[in-house]
Amino acid sequence: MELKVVLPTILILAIGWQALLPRLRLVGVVAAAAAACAASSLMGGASTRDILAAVPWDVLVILVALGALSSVLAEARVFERIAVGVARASRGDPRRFYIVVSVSMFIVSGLVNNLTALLLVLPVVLVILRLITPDQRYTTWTLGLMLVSCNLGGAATPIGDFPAILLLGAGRMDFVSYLSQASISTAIALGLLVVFVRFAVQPAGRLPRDELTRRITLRVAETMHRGVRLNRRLAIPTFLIAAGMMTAWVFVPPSTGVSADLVAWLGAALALVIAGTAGERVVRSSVDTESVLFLLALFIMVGAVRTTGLFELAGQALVSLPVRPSVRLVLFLVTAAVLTGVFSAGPSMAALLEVAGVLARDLEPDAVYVGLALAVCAGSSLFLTAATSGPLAQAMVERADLRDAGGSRLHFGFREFLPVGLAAFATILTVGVVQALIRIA
Amino acid sequence: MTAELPLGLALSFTVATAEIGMFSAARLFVEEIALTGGRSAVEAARDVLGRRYAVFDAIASQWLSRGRIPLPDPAEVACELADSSRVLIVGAESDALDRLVPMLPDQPIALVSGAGGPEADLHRVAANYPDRIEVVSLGKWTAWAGSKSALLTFVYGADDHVANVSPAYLRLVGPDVRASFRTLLGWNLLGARPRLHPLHLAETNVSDFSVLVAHGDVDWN
Repeated sequence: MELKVVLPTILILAIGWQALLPRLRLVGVVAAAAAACAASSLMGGASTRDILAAVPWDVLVILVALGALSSVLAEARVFERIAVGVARASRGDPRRFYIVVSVSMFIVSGLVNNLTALLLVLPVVLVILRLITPDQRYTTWTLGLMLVSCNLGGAATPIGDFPAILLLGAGRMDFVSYLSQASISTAIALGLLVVFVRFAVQPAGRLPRDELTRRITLRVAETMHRGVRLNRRLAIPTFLIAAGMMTAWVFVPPSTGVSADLVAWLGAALALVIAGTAGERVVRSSVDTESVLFLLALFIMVGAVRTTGLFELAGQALVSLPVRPSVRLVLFLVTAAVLTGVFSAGPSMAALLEVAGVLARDLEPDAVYVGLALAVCAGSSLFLTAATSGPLAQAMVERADLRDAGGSRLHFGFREFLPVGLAAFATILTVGVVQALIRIA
Repeated sequence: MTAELPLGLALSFTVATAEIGMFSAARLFVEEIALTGGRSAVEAARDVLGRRYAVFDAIASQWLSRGRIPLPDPAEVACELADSSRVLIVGAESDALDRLVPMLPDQPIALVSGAGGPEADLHRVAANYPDRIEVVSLGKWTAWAGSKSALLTFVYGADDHVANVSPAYLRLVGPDVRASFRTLLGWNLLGARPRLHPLHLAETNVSDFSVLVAHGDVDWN
């Protein structure tokens, strides 16, 4: 059997495994990566050393560094302050609450690791929801919109989430180009979604307008955080370092040798040193080993497949389709979105970026890459299982034991999320396709 | 009358009791109900919530009879704890802790987590007292025991023999625990025992406490 068959088979089996058995996804992909290396080495393909050398370590460095910065901000109580700000801005009013939550999470997720943000803000959101005593419809759309906003925020900036970090780290796009295009597109997608939810879905439509519940919700939320203070000693240096990193990403050209990963590494290291014992705690216990191992295993498998020339072939096949370039691009983006919905963002982006590289030779590269980032974002928002934050949010909601005013238990699972996911998928993908078509027109 | 109150009020109250404590939640709810609906709304809420929450019934009755709700006075408690080297607390009452913690500037203080019952994320509760309160799990109480250690819990009404406490307190306190602390202090936030049977509280002997600080009626809203 040829390597061109064996290696893609291992990759597809691993991607299928992690989609079907999320509880065993890490052991599955790590074992599959080892199998890919073994197959390649023993069947005359690239050696393990060569495959490991081709891993985009810079992307992993950026991912870990940004995660560490987020954790230092968490130690500084930034996210609790954000949660209080959300409660105050909403004034305890359910009609404002879901909008404030979604816009806030969009902004926060663009700047820090969205999983960290979700882990720290969602518990407070859940307490507020329990105080509001919502119905199923309100619960579904508030939490669903929140998750989609996290995905959109992550795609809005080059440092928000893995797909965008991959583009930045791999040098496919520079910081400013990505930010200027993706931030506008994702903001438009969020705006369209919020308008759709506000006027077409009207999630708060069946909730009574109740001044007492509104006042109690706000006051309990404030009382819960009455003494929580921002740790300025940690927060101010970390914010300044983050601002310095962004300035470096914008103004320092990679030709100087100061690459995006070096900026991230230096910035995170400085923030951790300044944080002292809190920094040590972050390094020891808050580094997202699961994500790093998962992506490393994917990179190894994708790298092994790349050596067979299969991605190049797939890209060439796409390029040679007898249709207009714009149709080709749309086909690619829709396929990318659906594949992401099924297989999740990490595997899809890692594999599809190779194909996108071939497309970008004939089309405006920025259109292809930003379009791909938005398509992956759309796919991540399609099903609750498509992004890591989905199952996490589901587990947290189940533990929170949300109930409606009559005492009936409220749920937030795959079925409940699906209408939100379909609306988000259609909206984000449409915006992504339109911006890509405008760009190549 | 009950139609004026939100249908989910009892559920909201349950959430609030876990987050800020039963006494503090009852005080907050009574104040807000009084502000939005006046005396008649407080009476209605007492009828609805009071049946399930004896502490709410007591606080609402206090407001109806006196027009205000006394806040816990920490002076005597702080005096009793002045010689303690560290203080372990079962239960989190924001109204009481906010006043007590500043009066114990030198003693390490910890909240016990995992003792069961409605309990918020105690790390979130402790974050309101930066660098002052830490959270210890139920199994780690021995680290806080000692010949100069104190165990504090909140009492929701007591008579000469029986005190109402959170079930979490009874889960922690057995003969071995009693012998491991110099002071077992009950801080009575309500005064007399509630007139209704408290469904969400447990009963313990008053004699179990080495000190039972009675409700202070000094600091008024």
